[in-house]
Amino acid sequence: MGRDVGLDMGLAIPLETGASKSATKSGEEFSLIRNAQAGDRMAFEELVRRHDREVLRLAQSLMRSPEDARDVYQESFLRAYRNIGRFRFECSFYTWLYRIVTNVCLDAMRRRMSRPEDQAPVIGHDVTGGGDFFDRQPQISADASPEKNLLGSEIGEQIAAAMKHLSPRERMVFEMKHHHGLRLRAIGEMLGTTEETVKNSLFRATRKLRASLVEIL
Amino acid sequence: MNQKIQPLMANPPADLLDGMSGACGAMQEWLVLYAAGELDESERGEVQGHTRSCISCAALLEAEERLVELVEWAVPEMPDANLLAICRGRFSDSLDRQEQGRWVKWLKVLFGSSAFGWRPAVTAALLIIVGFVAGRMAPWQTYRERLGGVDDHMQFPAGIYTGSSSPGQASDVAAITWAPAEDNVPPNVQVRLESKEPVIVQGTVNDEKVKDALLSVLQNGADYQPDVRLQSVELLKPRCGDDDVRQAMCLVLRTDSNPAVRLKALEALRGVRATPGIQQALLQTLREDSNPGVRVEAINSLMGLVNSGAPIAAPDDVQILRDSMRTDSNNYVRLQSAAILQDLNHASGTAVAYKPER
Repeated sequence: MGRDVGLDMGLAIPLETGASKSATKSGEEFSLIRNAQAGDRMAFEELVRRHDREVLRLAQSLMRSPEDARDVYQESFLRAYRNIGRFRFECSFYTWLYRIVTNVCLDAMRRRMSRPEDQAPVIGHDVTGGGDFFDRQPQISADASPEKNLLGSEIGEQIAAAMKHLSPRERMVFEMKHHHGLRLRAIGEMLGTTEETVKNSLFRATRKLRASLVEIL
Repeated sequence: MNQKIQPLMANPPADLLDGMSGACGAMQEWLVLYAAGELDESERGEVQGHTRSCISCAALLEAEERLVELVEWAVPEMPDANLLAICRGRFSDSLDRQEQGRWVKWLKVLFGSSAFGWRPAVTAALLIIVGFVAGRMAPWQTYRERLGGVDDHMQFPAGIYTGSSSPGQASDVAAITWAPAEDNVPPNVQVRLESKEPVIVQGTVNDEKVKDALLSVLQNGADYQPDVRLQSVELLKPRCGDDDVRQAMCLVLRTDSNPAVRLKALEALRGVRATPGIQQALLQTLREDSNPGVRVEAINSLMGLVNSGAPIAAPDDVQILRDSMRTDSNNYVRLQSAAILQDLNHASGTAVAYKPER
Protein backbone atom coordinates (compact mmCIF):
# COMPACT_ATOMS: atom_id res chain seq x y z
CA MET A 1 0.00 0.00 0.00
CA GLY A 2 1.69 3.15 -1.17
CA ARG A 3 4.92 4.40 0.19
CA ASP A 4 7.20 2.23 2.28
CA VAL A 5 7.60 3.50 5.80
CA GLY A 6 10.46 1.14 6.50
CA LEU A 7 13.14 3.71 5.89
CA ASP A 8 12.03 6.20 8.50
CA MET A 9 11.33 3.69 11.22
CA GLY A 10 13.43 3.55 14.32
CA LEU A 11 14.60 7.14 14.04
CA ALA A 12 15.99 8.61 17.22
CA ILE A 13 13.12 10.12 19.16
CA PRO A 14 14.40 11.24 22.53
CA LEU A 15 11.11 12.21 24.12
CA GLU A 16 8.40 9.77 25.09
CA THR A 17 5.23 9.90 27.07
CA GLY A 18 5.52 8.40 30.54
CA ALA A 19 3.03 5.63 29.86
CA SER A 20 4.56 4.52 26.60
CA LYS A 21 8.07 4.69 28.06
CA SER A 22 7.17 2.44 30.92
CA ALA A 23 5.39 0.09 28.55
CA THR A 24 8.40 -0.18 26.27
CA LYS A 25 10.76 -0.71 29.14
CA SER A 26 8.61 -3.33 30.73
CA GLY A 27 10.63 -6.50 30.58
CA GLU A 28 7.82 -8.48 29.06
CA GLU A 29 7.28 -6.28 26.03
CA PHE A 30 11.02 -5.84 25.59
CA SER A 31 11.55 -9.58 25.39
CA LEU A 32 8.56 -10.01 23.10
CA ILE A 33 10.05 -7.48 20.70
CA ARG A 34 13.47 -9.11 20.91
CA ASN A 35 11.97 -12.53 20.21
CA ALA A 36 9.91 -11.14 17.33
CA GLN A 37 13.06 -9.62 15.88
CA ALA A 38 14.69 -13.03 16.12
CA GLY A 39 11.87 -14.45 13.99
CA ASP A 40 9.52 -15.73 16.70
CA ARG A 41 6.11 -15.40 15.09
CA MET A 42 4.24 -16.16 18.30
CA ALA A 43 5.99 -13.25 20.02
CA PHE A 44 4.97 -10.94 17.20
CA GLU A 45 1.38 -12.14 17.35
CA GLU A 46 1.34 -11.48 21.08
CA LEU A 47 2.51 -7.92 20.38
CA VAL A 48 -0.29 -7.60 17.85
CA ARG A 49 -2.89 -8.75 20.35
CA ARG A 50 -1.64 -6.23 22.88
CA HIS A 51 -2.08 -3.29 20.56
CA ASP A 52 -4.54 -4.23 17.87
CA ARG A 53 -7.74 -3.04 19.55
CA GLU A 54 -6.39 0.50 19.75
CA VAL A 55 -4.96 0.28 16.25
CA LEU A 56 -8.31 -0.83 14.86
CA ARG A 57 -10.11 1.88 16.81
CA LEU A 58 -7.81 4.54 15.39
CA ALA A 59 -8.14 3.13 11.88
CA GLN A 60 -11.91 2.95 12.18
CA SER A 61 -12.22 6.51 13.42
CA LEU A 62 -9.94 7.88 10.72
CA MET A 63 -11.26 5.83 7.82
CA ARG A 64 -14.93 5.86 8.89
CA SER A 65 -15.57 2.49 7.31
CA PRO A 66 -15.06 -1.00 8.76
CA GLU A 67 -13.78 -2.32 5.41
CA ASP A 68 -11.12 0.38 5.13
CA ALA A 69 -10.22 -0.04 8.81
CA ARG A 70 -9.72 -3.74 8.18
CA ASP A 71 -7.38 -2.99 5.27
CA VAL A 72 -5.43 -0.50 7.37
CA TYR A 73 -5.10 -3.06 10.18
CA GLN A 74 -3.82 -5.66 7.75
CA GLU A 75 -1.37 -3.42 5.97
CA SER A 76 -0.07 -1.81 9.15
CA PHE A 77 0.72 -5.03 10.95
CA LEU A 78 2.25 -6.55 7.83
CA ARG A 79 4.57 -3.55 7.53
CA ALA A 80 5.40 -3.85 11.21
CA TYR A 81 6.13 -7.56 10.77
CA ARG A 82 8.41 -6.95 7.80
CA ASN A 83 10.25 -4.14 9.55
CA ILE A 84 10.38 -5.18 13.19
CA GLY A 85 14.09 -5.95 12.71
CA ARG A 86 14.66 -2.22 12.21
CA PHE A 87 13.04 -1.23 15.49
CA ARG A 88 15.85 -0.01 17.71
CA PHE A 89 14.08 0.80 20.99
CA GLU A 90 14.67 4.51 20.49
CA CYS A 91 10.98 5.17 20.95
CA SER A 92 8.20 3.08 22.42
CA PHE A 93 6.86 0.20 20.36
CA TYR A 94 3.45 1.86 20.60
CA THR A 95 4.78 5.07 19.05
CA TRP A 96 6.58 3.15 16.32
CA LEU A 97 3.48 1.12 15.53
CA TYR A 98 1.23 4.19 15.49
CA ARG A 99 3.63 5.85 13.08
CA ILE A 100 3.11 2.98 10.68
CA VAL A 101 -0.67 3.06 11.15
CA THR A 102 -0.90 6.81 10.59
CA ASN A 103 1.23 6.52 7.43
CA VAL A 104 -1.01 3.78 6.09
CA CYS A 105 -4.11 5.81 6.98
CA LEU A 106 -2.74 8.95 5.35
CA ASP A 107 -1.97 7.04 2.16
CA ALA A 108 -5.47 5.58 2.12
CA MET A 109 -7.14 8.91 2.89
CA ARG A 110 -5.22 10.65 0.14
CA ARG A 111 -6.13 7.94 -2.32
CA ARG A 112 -9.75 8.22 -1.27
CA MET A 113 -9.74 12.00 -1.69
CA SER A 114 -8.43 11.60 -5.21
CA ARG A 115 -11.32 9.22 -5.93
CA PRO A 116 -14.46 10.79 -4.44
CA GLU A 117 -16.60 7.90 -5.69
CA ASP A 118 -14.86 5.73 -3.10
CA GLN A 119 -16.05 7.84 -0.16
CA ALA A 120 -17.13 5.48 2.57
CA PRO A 121 -20.36 5.95 4.47
CA VAL A 122 -19.86 7.50 7.88
CA ILE A 123 -19.89 5.08 10.78
CA GLY A 124 -22.52 5.73 13.38
CA HIS A 125 -24.73 7.85 11.17
CA ASP A 126 -26.03 5.20 8.87
CA VAL A 127 -29.75 5.67 8.51
CA THR A 128 -30.22 1.94 7.98
CA GLY A 129 -28.81 1.43 11.47
CA GLY A 130 -25.77 -0.58 12.51
CA GLY A 131 -25.33 -3.02 15.37
CA ASP A 132 -27.84 -5.57 16.40
CA PHE A 133 -31.53 -5.31 17.14
CA PHE A 134 -31.06 -4.30 20.76
CA ASP A 135 -28.54 -1.60 19.95
CA ARG A 136 -30.99 -0.04 17.55
CA GLN A 137 -33.72 0.18 20.14
CA PRO A 138 -34.10 3.60 21.68
CA GLN A 139 -33.10 3.77 25.32
CA ILE A 140 -36.23 4.44 27.33
CA SER A 141 -35.18 6.16 30.48
CA ALA A 142 -36.41 8.85 32.78
CA ASP A 143 -33.80 11.32 31.58
CA ALA A 144 -33.81 10.42 27.88
CA SER A 145 -36.10 12.00 25.37
CA PRO A 146 -36.63 11.67 21.62
CA GLU A 147 -35.62 15.30 21.24
CA LYS A 148 -32.32 14.63 22.98
CA ASN A 149 -31.57 11.54 20.88
CA LEU A 150 -32.39 13.43 17.72
CA LEU A 151 -30.20 16.31 18.81
CA GLY A 152 -27.29 13.95 19.44
CA SER A 153 -27.55 12.35 16.04
CA GLU A 154 -27.91 15.71 14.29
CA ILE A 155 -24.84 17.06 16.04
CA GLY A 156 -22.90 13.91 15.16
CA GLU A 157 -23.87 14.31 11.52
CA GLN A 158 -22.85 17.96 11.46
CA ILE A 159 -19.49 17.18 13.03
CA ALA A 160 -18.89 14.36 10.55
CA ALA A 161 -19.76 16.69 7.68
CA ALA A 162 -17.45 19.40 9.04
CA MET A 163 -14.60 16.90 9.36
CA LYS A 164 -14.76 16.33 5.61
CA HIS A 165 -13.47 19.84 5.04
CA LEU A 166 -10.20 19.04 6.81
CA SER A 167 -7.12 17.82 5.00
CA PRO A 168 -6.04 14.26 5.87
CA ARG A 169 -3.26 15.50 8.13
CA GLU A 170 -5.46 18.07 9.87
CA ARG A 171 -8.14 15.48 10.51
CA MET A 172 -5.62 12.99 11.77
CA VAL A 173 -4.08 15.46 14.22
CA PHE A 174 -7.49 16.67 15.41
CA GLU A 175 -8.86 13.16 15.93
CA MET A 176 -5.71 11.83 17.59
CA LYS A 177 -5.88 14.79 19.97
CA HIS A 178 -9.59 14.95 20.74
CA HIS A 179 -10.80 11.40 20.13
CA HIS A 180 -7.79 9.44 21.29
CA GLY A 181 -6.47 11.83 23.93
CA LEU A 182 -2.87 11.85 22.68
CA ARG A 183 -0.49 14.69 23.54
CA LEU A 184 0.63 16.89 20.66
CA ARG A 185 4.23 15.90 21.26
CA ALA A 186 3.33 12.21 20.97
CA ILE A 187 1.32 12.90 17.82
CA GLY A 188 4.37 14.65 16.36
CA GLU A 189 6.49 11.59 17.11
CA MET A 190 3.94 9.29 15.54
CA LEU A 191 3.59 11.38 12.42
CA GLY A 192 7.34 11.80 12.18
CA THR A 193 7.12 15.57 12.35
CA THR A 194 7.70 18.42 14.78
CA GLU A 195 5.38 19.52 17.55
CA GLU A 196 5.25 22.91 15.84
CA THR A 197 3.84 21.39 12.66
CA VAL A 198 1.30 19.42 14.66
CA LYS A 199 0.17 22.58 16.46
CA ASN A 200 -0.17 24.28 13.11
CA SER A 201 -2.40 21.46 11.83
CA LEU A 202 -4.48 21.56 15.01
CA PHE A 203 -5.02 25.33 14.66
CA ARG A 204 -6.06 24.99 11.05
CA ALA A 205 -8.39 22.11 11.84
CA THR A 206 -9.94 23.99 14.74
CA ARG A 207 -10.43 27.10 12.66
CA LYS A 208 -12.10 25.21 9.83
CA LEU A 209 -14.36 23.33 12.22
CA ARG A 210 -15.35 26.52 14.02
CA ALA A 211 -16.30 28.02 10.68
CA SER A 212 -18.29 24.97 9.61
CA LEU A 213 -20.06 24.55 12.93
CA VAL A 214 -20.70 28.22 13.59
CA GLU A 215 -24.45 27.65 13.89
CA ILE A 216 -24.17 25.28 16.82
CA LEU A 217 -21.18 26.82 18.60
CA MET B 1 -2.54 41.73 28.99
CA ASN B 2 0.21 39.89 30.72
CA GLN B 3 3.63 40.13 29.08
CA LYS B 4 4.09 36.35 29.20
CA ILE B 5 1.60 35.86 26.39
CA GLN B 6 3.78 35.42 23.33
CA PRO B 7 3.15 33.58 20.07
CA LEU B 8 3.82 29.89 20.66
CA MET B 9 4.79 29.21 17.07
CA ALA B 10 7.89 30.85 15.67
CA ASN B 11 6.09 31.90 12.49
CA PRO B 12 2.35 31.56 12.96
CA PRO B 13 0.57 31.59 9.60
CA ALA B 14 -1.16 34.95 9.19
CA ASP B 15 -4.43 33.31 8.15
CA LEU B 16 -4.70 31.67 11.54
CA LEU B 17 -4.81 34.91 13.47
CA ASP B 18 -8.34 35.96 12.50
CA GLY B 19 -7.06 39.40 11.60
CA MET B 20 -5.99 40.00 15.17
CA SER B 21 -2.59 41.30 16.03
CA GLY B 22 -0.49 41.83 19.13
CA ALA B 23 -1.50 40.10 22.36
CA CYS B 24 -4.90 38.95 21.12
CA GLY B 25 -3.30 37.56 17.96
CA ALA B 26 -0.88 35.50 20.05
CA MET B 27 -3.74 34.49 22.33
CA GLN B 28 -5.45 32.68 19.41
CA GLU B 29 -2.94 29.83 19.64
CA TRP B 30 -3.08 29.76 23.42
CA LEU B 31 -6.86 29.41 23.39
CA VAL B 32 -6.75 26.37 21.11
CA LEU B 33 -4.11 24.74 23.31
CA TYR B 34 -6.03 25.71 26.46
CA ALA B 35 -9.16 23.98 25.21
CA ALA B 36 -7.08 20.98 24.13
CA GLY B 37 -5.59 20.64 27.62
CA GLU B 38 -2.05 21.23 26.38
CA LEU B 39 -1.08 24.11 28.69
CA ASP B 40 0.51 23.78 32.11
CA GLU B 41 -0.93 25.40 35.22
CA SER B 42 0.91 28.72 34.94
CA GLU B 43 0.03 29.06 31.26
CA ARG B 44 -3.61 28.33 32.02
CA GLY B 45 -3.48 31.07 34.61
CA GLU B 46 -2.17 33.47 31.97
CA VAL B 47 -5.02 32.64 29.64
CA GLN B 48 -7.62 32.97 32.38
CA GLY B 49 -6.15 36.33 33.37
CA HIS B 50 -6.31 37.61 29.80
CA THR B 51 -9.83 36.38 29.08
CA ARG B 52 -11.12 38.06 32.24
CA SER B 53 -10.20 41.41 30.76
CA CYS B 54 -10.74 40.76 27.02
CA ILE B 55 -14.28 40.12 25.87
CA SER B 56 -13.40 38.96 22.35
CA CYS B 57 -10.84 36.42 23.59
CA ALA B 58 -13.28 35.24 26.27
CA ALA B 59 -15.88 34.64 23.54
CA LEU B 60 -13.32 32.78 21.44
CA LEU B 61 -12.34 30.63 24.39
CA GLU B 62 -15.97 29.79 24.98
CA ALA B 63 -16.31 28.77 21.32
CA GLU B 64 -13.17 26.62 21.55
CA GLU B 65 -14.41 24.85 24.64
CA ARG B 66 -17.83 24.35 23.12
CA LEU B 67 -16.19 22.84 20.02
CA VAL B 68 -14.24 20.34 22.12
CA GLU B 69 -17.43 19.49 23.99
CA LEU B 70 -19.34 18.94 20.75
CA VAL B 71 -16.60 16.79 19.30
CA GLU B 72 -17.13 14.40 22.18
CA TRP B 73 -20.44 13.43 20.56
CA ALA B 74 -18.44 11.84 17.78
CA VAL B 75 -15.83 9.94 19.84
CA PRO B 76 -15.45 6.50 18.25
CA GLU B 77 -16.30 3.42 20.26
CA MET B 78 -14.01 0.43 20.63
CA PRO B 79 -14.23 -1.82 17.58
CA ASP B 80 -16.60 -4.74 17.95
CA ALA B 81 -15.28 -8.20 18.71
CA ASN B 82 -16.40 -9.66 15.38
CA LEU B 83 -14.47 -7.10 13.34
CA LEU B 84 -11.41 -7.65 15.52
CA ALA B 85 -11.70 -11.41 15.08
CA ILE B 86 -11.93 -11.03 11.30
CA CYS B 87 -8.87 -8.76 11.26
CA ARG B 88 -6.85 -11.15 13.39
CA GLY B 89 -7.82 -14.09 11.23
CA ARG B 90 -6.94 -12.31 8.00
CA PHE B 91 -3.65 -11.09 9.38
CA SER B 92 -2.72 -14.53 10.57
CA ASP B 93 -3.44 -15.95 7.11
CA SER B 94 -1.21 -13.26 5.61
CA LEU B 95 1.61 -14.23 7.93
CA ASP B 96 1.20 -17.84 6.82
CA ARG B 97 1.48 -16.75 3.21
CA GLN B 98 4.53 -14.62 4.00
CA GLU B 99 6.27 -17.54 5.62
CA GLN B 100 5.47 -19.83 2.71
CA GLY B 101 6.86 -17.14 0.43
CA ARG B 102 10.09 -17.13 2.37
CA TRP B 103 10.63 -20.85 1.80
CA VAL B 104 10.13 -20.45 -1.92
CA LYS B 105 12.57 -17.54 -1.93
CA TRP B 106 15.21 -19.59 -0.14
CA LEU B 107 14.71 -22.51 -2.46
CA LYS B 108 15.10 -20.18 -5.43
CA VAL B 109 18.33 -18.89 -3.96
CA LEU B 110 19.59 -22.42 -3.44
CA PHE B 111 18.54 -23.95 -6.70
CA GLY B 112 18.05 -20.98 -9.01
CA SER B 113 14.73 -19.68 -10.18
CA SER B 114 14.97 -21.38 -13.57
CA ALA B 115 14.78 -24.79 -11.90
CA PHE B 116 11.24 -24.00 -10.80
CA GLY B 117 10.15 -22.98 -14.23
CA TRP B 118 11.59 -25.94 -16.09
CA ARG B 119 11.20 -28.76 -13.61
CA PRO B 120 7.87 -28.37 -11.82
CA ALA B 121 7.74 -32.04 -10.83
CA VAL B 122 11.15 -31.82 -9.15
CA THR B 123 10.11 -28.62 -7.39
CA ALA B 124 6.89 -30.12 -6.10
CA ALA B 125 8.68 -33.22 -4.84
CA LEU B 126 11.29 -31.06 -3.15
CA LEU B 127 8.68 -28.96 -1.41
CA ILE B 128 6.86 -32.06 -0.18
CA ILE B 129 10.08 -33.50 1.20
CA VAL B 130 11.05 -30.25 2.89
CA GLY B 131 7.56 -29.93 4.37
CA PHE B 132 7.57 -33.52 5.60
CA VAL B 133 11.00 -33.25 7.20
CA ALA B 134 10.14 -29.93 8.84
CA GLY B 135 6.86 -31.29 10.13
CA ARG B 136 8.42 -34.40 11.62
CA MET B 137 11.67 -33.04 12.95
CA ALA B 138 11.09 -29.48 14.05
CA PRO B 139 10.07 -29.07 17.71
CA TRP B 140 7.11 -26.91 16.83
CA GLN B 141 3.98 -26.68 18.88
CA THR B 142 0.62 -26.46 17.24
CA TYR B 143 -1.41 -23.43 17.91
CA ARG B 144 -3.93 -25.45 19.86
CA GLU B 145 -1.21 -26.82 22.11
CA ARG B 146 0.05 -23.32 22.77
CA LEU B 147 -3.43 -22.27 23.79
CA GLY B 148 -3.42 -24.76 26.58
CA GLY B 149 -3.23 -28.22 25.18
CA VAL B 150 -5.71 -30.50 23.50
CA ASP B 151 -7.38 -32.84 25.90
CA ASP B 152 -8.22 -35.96 23.93
CA HIS B 153 -10.06 -37.43 26.86
CA MET B 154 -12.83 -34.87 27.00
CA GLN B 155 -16.29 -36.11 26.21
CA PHE B 156 -16.74 -33.97 23.13
CA PRO B 157 -17.05 -34.95 19.52
CA ALA B 158 -13.75 -35.90 17.91
CA GLY B 159 -11.83 -33.09 16.31
CA ILE B 160 -13.28 -30.35 18.43
CA TYR B 161 -10.91 -28.41 20.60
CA THR B 162 -11.98 -28.15 24.17
CA GLY B 163 -9.49 -25.56 25.32
CA SER B 164 -7.66 -25.14 28.58
CA SER B 165 -9.31 -25.01 31.96
CA SER B 166 -10.42 -21.49 31.24
CA PRO B 167 -10.97 -20.86 27.55
CA GLY B 168 -12.08 -17.32 28.20
CA GLN B 169 -8.62 -16.49 29.43
CA ALA B 170 -6.89 -18.09 26.48
CA SER B 171 -8.82 -16.23 23.85
CA ASP B 172 -12.02 -14.25 23.47
CA VAL B 173 -15.43 -15.55 22.51
CA ALA B 174 -16.34 -14.63 18.94
CA ALA B 175 -19.74 -16.29 18.59
CA ILE B 176 -22.13 -18.63 20.35
CA THR B 177 -24.48 -21.02 18.61
CA TRP B 178 -26.86 -23.45 20.21
CA ALA B 179 -29.92 -25.49 19.37
CA PRO B 180 -32.95 -25.76 21.67
CA ALA B 181 -33.28 -29.20 23.23
CA GLU B 182 -36.11 -31.25 24.72
CA ASP B 183 -37.64 -30.20 28.03
CA ASN B 184 -35.31 -30.50 31.00
CA VAL B 185 -32.35 -31.28 28.76
CA PRO B 186 -29.73 -28.56 28.50
CA PRO B 187 -29.15 -27.41 24.92
CA ASN B 188 -25.96 -28.29 23.12
CA VAL B 189 -23.83 -25.16 22.89
CA GLN B 190 -20.98 -24.26 20.55
CA VAL B 191 -18.71 -21.39 21.58
CA ARG B 192 -16.32 -20.18 18.89
CA LEU B 193 -13.19 -18.59 20.29
CA GLU B 194 -11.56 -15.66 18.61
CA SER B 195 -8.29 -16.93 17.20
CA LYS B 196 -6.40 -17.39 14.00
CA GLU B 197 -7.92 -20.78 13.31
CA PRO B 198 -11.39 -22.00 14.23
CA VAL B 199 -11.36 -23.04 17.86
CA ILE B 200 -14.61 -24.33 19.27
CA VAL B 201 -15.74 -25.27 22.73
CA GLN B 202 -18.75 -27.54 22.52
CA GLY B 203 -21.03 -29.24 24.98
CA THR B 204 -23.87 -28.42 27.32
CA VAL B 205 -23.70 -25.79 30.05
CA ASN B 206 -23.13 -28.62 32.48
CA ASP B 207 -19.63 -28.90 31.01
CA GLU B 208 -17.27 -26.72 32.99
CA LYS B 209 -15.40 -25.49 29.92
CA VAL B 210 -18.57 -24.32 28.23
CA LYS B 211 -19.65 -22.67 31.46
CA ASP B 212 -16.25 -20.94 31.80
CA ALA B 213 -16.40 -19.63 28.24
CA LEU B 214 -19.87 -18.20 28.79
CA LEU B 215 -18.89 -16.78 32.17
CA SER B 216 -15.97 -14.95 30.60
CA VAL B 217 -18.47 -13.18 28.35
CA LEU B 218 -20.48 -11.99 31.35
CA GLN B 219 -17.40 -10.95 33.28
CA ASN B 220 -15.97 -8.96 30.36
CA GLY B 221 -19.23 -7.68 28.95
CA ALA B 222 -17.81 -4.52 27.39
CA ASP B 223 -15.78 -6.62 24.96
CA TYR B 224 -18.78 -8.39 23.44
CA GLN B 225 -21.81 -7.60 21.36
CA PRO B 226 -25.17 -7.54 23.17
CA ASP B 227 -26.45 -10.62 21.32
CA VAL B 228 -23.48 -12.66 22.56
CA ARG B 229 -24.07 -11.39 26.11
CA LEU B 230 -27.77 -12.10 25.89
CA GLN B 231 -27.19 -15.68 24.77
CA SER B 232 -24.62 -16.23 27.49
CA VAL B 233 -27.08 -15.11 30.16
CA GLU B 234 -29.83 -17.28 28.68
CA LEU B 235 -27.62 -20.35 28.49
CA LEU B 236 -26.22 -19.94 32.00
CA LYS B 237 -29.67 -19.56 33.55
CA PRO B 238 -29.90 -23.23 34.61
CA ARG B 239 -26.60 -22.84 36.48
CA CYS B 240 -27.60 -19.86 38.59
CA GLY B 241 -27.34 -22.09 41.62
CA ASP B 242 -23.53 -21.89 41.27
CA ASP B 243 -21.95 -19.05 43.22
CA ASP B 244 -19.80 -17.83 40.32
CA VAL B 245 -22.71 -17.77 37.89
CA ARG B 246 -24.92 -15.98 40.40
CA GLN B 247 -22.24 -13.38 41.00
CA ALA B 248 -21.77 -12.89 37.27
CA MET B 249 -25.52 -12.41 36.83
CA CYS B 250 -25.51 -9.76 39.56
CA LEU B 251 -22.60 -8.06 37.81
CA VAL B 252 -24.51 -8.04 34.53
CA LEU B 253 -27.56 -6.63 36.28
CA ARG B 254 -25.54 -3.81 37.77
CA THR B 255 -23.25 -2.95 34.89
CA ASP B 256 -24.45 -4.16 31.47
CA SER B 257 -25.18 -1.28 29.12
CA ASN B 258 -28.03 -3.03 27.34
CA PRO B 259 -31.46 -3.13 29.06
CA ALA B 260 -32.44 -6.37 27.31
CA VAL B 261 -29.39 -8.10 28.77
CA ARG B 262 -30.11 -6.70 32.22
CA LEU B 263 -33.72 -7.92 31.98
CA LYS B 264 -32.50 -11.36 30.98
CA ALA B 265 -30.18 -11.41 34.01
CA LEU B 266 -33.12 -10.47 36.23
CA GLU B 267 -35.12 -13.30 34.74
CA ALA B 268 -32.25 -15.70 35.38
CA LEU B 269 -32.00 -14.66 39.02
CA ARG B 270 -35.71 -15.11 39.64
CA GLY B 271 -36.40 -18.17 41.75
CA VAL B 272 -32.77 -18.52 42.81
CA ARG B 273 -32.16 -18.90 46.54
CA ALA B 274 -32.04 -15.42 48.07
CA THR B 275 -28.58 -14.16 48.95
CA PRO B 276 -27.40 -10.78 50.22
CA GLY B 277 -25.60 -10.30 46.91
CA ILE B 278 -28.77 -10.68 44.86
CA GLN B 279 -30.69 -8.42 47.22
CA GLN B 280 -28.05 -5.71 46.92
CA ALA B 281 -27.94 -5.99 43.14
CA LEU B 282 -31.73 -5.63 42.97
CA LEU B 283 -31.74 -2.63 45.28
CA GLN B 284 -28.96 -0.98 43.31
CA THR B 285 -30.92 -1.61 40.11
CA LEU B 286 -34.00 -0.09 41.68
CA ARG B 287 -32.04 2.98 42.70
CA GLU B 288 -29.82 3.51 39.66
CA ASP B 289 -31.16 1.82 36.54
CA SER B 290 -32.32 4.35 33.99
CA ASN B 291 -34.70 1.94 32.29
CA PRO B 292 -38.18 1.80 33.88
CA GLY B 293 -38.81 -1.71 32.49
CA VAL B 294 -35.74 -3.02 34.30
CA ARG B 295 -36.78 -1.25 37.51
CA VAL B 296 -40.25 -2.79 37.28
CA GLU B 297 -38.74 -6.27 37.06
CA ALA B 298 -36.30 -5.45 39.86
CA ILE B 299 -39.08 -4.40 42.22
CA ASN B 300 -41.06 -7.53 41.32
CA SER B 301 -38.04 -9.66 42.16
CA LEU B 302 -37.55 -7.79 45.42
CA MET B 303 -41.18 -8.44 46.27
CA GLY B 304 -40.57 -12.11 45.56
CA LEU B 305 -37.54 -12.15 47.86
CA VAL B 306 -39.44 -10.48 50.69
CA ASN B 307 -42.36 -12.89 50.29
CA SER B 308 -40.00 -15.83 50.39
CA GLY B 309 -38.80 -14.72 53.80
CA ALA B 310 -35.74 -12.62 52.98
CA PRO B 311 -36.47 -9.39 54.86
CA ILE B 312 -34.95 -6.05 53.99
CA ALA B 313 -33.75 -4.72 57.30
CA ALA B 314 -30.70 -2.51 56.86
CA PRO B 315 -31.64 1.18 57.18
CA ASP B 316 -29.85 2.09 53.93
CA ASP B 317 -31.77 -0.58 52.05
CA VAL B 318 -35.10 0.53 53.48
CA GLN B 319 -34.19 4.06 52.51
CA ILE B 320 -33.75 2.97 48.87
CA LEU B 321 -37.30 1.64 48.95
CA ARG B 322 -38.56 4.86 50.53
CA ASP B 323 -36.81 6.93 47.87
CA SER B 324 -38.20 4.73 45.18
CA MET B 325 -41.70 5.05 46.63
CA ARG B 326 -41.43 8.82 46.65
CA THR B 327 -39.48 9.69 43.56
CA ASP B 328 -39.44 6.93 40.95
CA SER B 329 -40.83 8.16 37.64
CA ASN B 330 -42.78 4.93 37.17
CA ASN B 331 -46.10 4.61 38.97
CA TYR B 332 -45.95 0.82 39.26
CA VAL B 333 -42.50 0.97 40.83
CA ARG B 334 -43.71 3.54 43.36
CA LEU B 335 -46.74 1.41 44.26
CA GLN B 336 -44.73 -1.79 44.60
CA SER B 337 -42.09 -0.06 46.72
CA ALA B 338 -44.81 1.15 49.03
CA ALA B 339 -46.30 -2.34 49.17
CA ILE B 340 -42.97 -3.86 50.14
CA LEU B 341 -42.48 -1.22 52.82
CA GLN B 342 -45.93 -1.98 54.19
CA ASP B 343 -45.14 -5.71 54.26
CA LEU B 344 -41.90 -5.01 56.06
CA ASN B 345 -43.64 -2.81 58.59
CA HIS B 346 -46.40 -5.35 59.17
CA ALA B 347 -43.76 -7.97 59.73
CA SER B 348 -42.02 -5.76 62.27
CA GLY B 349 -45.32 -4.75 63.89
CA THR B 350 -45.22 -1.12 62.80
CA ALA B 351 -47.97 0.42 60.75
CA VAL B 352 -47.07 2.58 57.78
CA ALA B 353 -49.21 4.84 55.73
CA TYR B 354 -48.73 4.55 51.98
CA LYS B 355 -48.25 7.96 50.55
CA PRO B 356 -46.47 7.97 47.21
CA GLU B 357 -45.83 11.55 46.30
CA ARG B 358 -46.61 11.30 42.62
